[in-house]
Amino acid sequence: MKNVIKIERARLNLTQQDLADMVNVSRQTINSIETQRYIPSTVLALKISKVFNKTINEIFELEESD
Amino acid sequence: MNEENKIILLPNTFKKVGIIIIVLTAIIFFILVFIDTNFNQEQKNIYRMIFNNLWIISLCFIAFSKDKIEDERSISIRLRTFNGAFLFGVLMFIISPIMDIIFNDPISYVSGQYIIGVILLFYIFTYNYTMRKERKEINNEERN
Repeated sequence: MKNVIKIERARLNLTQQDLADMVNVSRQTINSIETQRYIPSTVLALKISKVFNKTINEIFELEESD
Repeated sequence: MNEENKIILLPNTFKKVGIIIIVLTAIIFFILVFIDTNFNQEQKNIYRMIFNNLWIISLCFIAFSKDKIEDERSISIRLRTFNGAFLFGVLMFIISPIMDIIFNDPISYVSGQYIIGVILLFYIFTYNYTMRKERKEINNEERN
């Protein structure tokens, strides 16, 4: 599952740690999501989308392999 | 974290308590082994039972205490590594008597305490190894 978290973070000038603190997870979890090593739960995906004030579909996108 | 995604974990301080119990148990065990205590068989069995239980309890404290930051990814890694550890324990239980047959030893079954200890040790090792490996990979990516 592709995502644009890194781009959105840069837009809001947030570090991985800032975003991690905002959604109550570890920095490693944010990094793992950005690098597509970990697929977040629906709740976490919604929380991340809310931080960026976007819909979940604007942040996450399904790939052919999903 | 969603209530349905939660698993039962002890507070983080229990990890230290578990390590302290293991160290103390090992020290007392070696003192008793090297000192001539003249225990009879019944006393030996009782002490063996106490040491084994303390060993299992301390491993449980280490294995099932929270990390400093516990989130859904760490729970996912916990479930994956515990699944592996459980399968390892089952395989060991099955393979152990077969190895006895192959090496012409009398067939013996491993005890429940031994299997639980192996499962917990395997889980503690693989969970911490996975977490450390991922942390290292992330740090390396950031440096590059």
